Amino acid sequence: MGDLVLVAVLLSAALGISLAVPSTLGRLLASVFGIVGLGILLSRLVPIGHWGFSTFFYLFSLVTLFAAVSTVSTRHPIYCAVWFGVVLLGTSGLLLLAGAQFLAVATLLIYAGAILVIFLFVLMLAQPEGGASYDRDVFRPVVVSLVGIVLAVLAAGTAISLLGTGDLLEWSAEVGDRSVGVLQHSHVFTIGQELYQKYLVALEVVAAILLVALVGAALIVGKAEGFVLGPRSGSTREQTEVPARNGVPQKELGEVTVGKA
Amino acid sequence: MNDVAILVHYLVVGALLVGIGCVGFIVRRNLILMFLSLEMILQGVALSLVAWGRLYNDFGGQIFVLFVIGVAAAEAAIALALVLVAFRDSRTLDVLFWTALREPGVPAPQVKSSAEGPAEPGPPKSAWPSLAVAGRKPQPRPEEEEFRPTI
Repeated sequence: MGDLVLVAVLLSAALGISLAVPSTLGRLLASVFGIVGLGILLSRLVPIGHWGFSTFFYLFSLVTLFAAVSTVSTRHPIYCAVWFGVVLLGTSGLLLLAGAQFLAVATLLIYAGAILVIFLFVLMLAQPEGGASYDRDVFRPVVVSLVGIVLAVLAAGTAISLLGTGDLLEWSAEVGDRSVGVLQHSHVFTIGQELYQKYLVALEVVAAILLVALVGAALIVGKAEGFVLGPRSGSTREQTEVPARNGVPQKELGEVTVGKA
Repeated sequence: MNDVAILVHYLVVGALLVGIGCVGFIVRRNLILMFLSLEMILQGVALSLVAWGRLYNDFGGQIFVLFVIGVAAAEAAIALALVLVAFRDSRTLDVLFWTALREPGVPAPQVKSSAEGPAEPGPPKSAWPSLAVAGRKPQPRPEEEEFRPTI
């Protein structure tokens, strides 16, 4: 229990430093704290027997966690999106190791191939040239990273306490031979069967959700007449010129007042 | 025991991803980066679901993740449409522009004054590669003055 507190302190120090000090030195210091914290956390876990599985698991999870910390701490939003692509690569590898072959490829196709590309489109449309002031500061990095890592370590500690009890072992022992389960050859066939037999209603509902989202997004944005495509140069402090609508020039937007009630 | 150990490893990584995503959501000021952190939370949840499905040899874990990916795509579409509409009105992706929407009685968030300054200049325009103008302007043809075929 005490070493989980130490793990929480070290990992939140790592995350807080990487958020507060985004330079290379801060990233290096945060990596040191992070590796020590993760090492102590690892010592609480029962090692996986298979050396190949554990090598690739630690490799993928280290890449994922480093890329996740870099995603939330980088000061340029396009680089954050690229780091999130690396997170997706790591997650896809972890899913492949767990036997979810279809999901690994689906993550790369849908998440990295469609959702991330949408993010990059909107970022390039709306991001000002040069660094924006609102990208260069963060809200209370140390306190928030302490809270977030305490949340994560509480969840992880609950998972670790599962190792102590025997319930999980005896429930999972009823499953039988797991090698002919999710880690099998006719993987997509079995997923298709389950999806269309057991989960048919949920599948149709998700299809309806996607249709509604498509129509809703088009309705929300509406006509494109108010848009001036392309990034604006300069910071938000400049008076921006609102394009004239219907030939009548609109009055300019006021300055952003920040920090005042 | 090995399968339980693998499960706990996956749960720990999933929990850390969720934690880092939550931190990123609260800490960043850019609307799109806030949403990117939400997607990272969903990735952590996906890892945990697949690990539990692997323990019990049940495909329901993976199918749940398929639905999570589908709903995340729908959510991304709507959220980015809202961000675009917000950008159209405010010309900025700063979430502090919308502090007027906060709950009554909550003080406005304070920002370090050092952060409000001129933006870093982008790369000088001479650094961009320039292509030589190629081709020639088409000469107008007299027969096209009466009837121009559509392209």
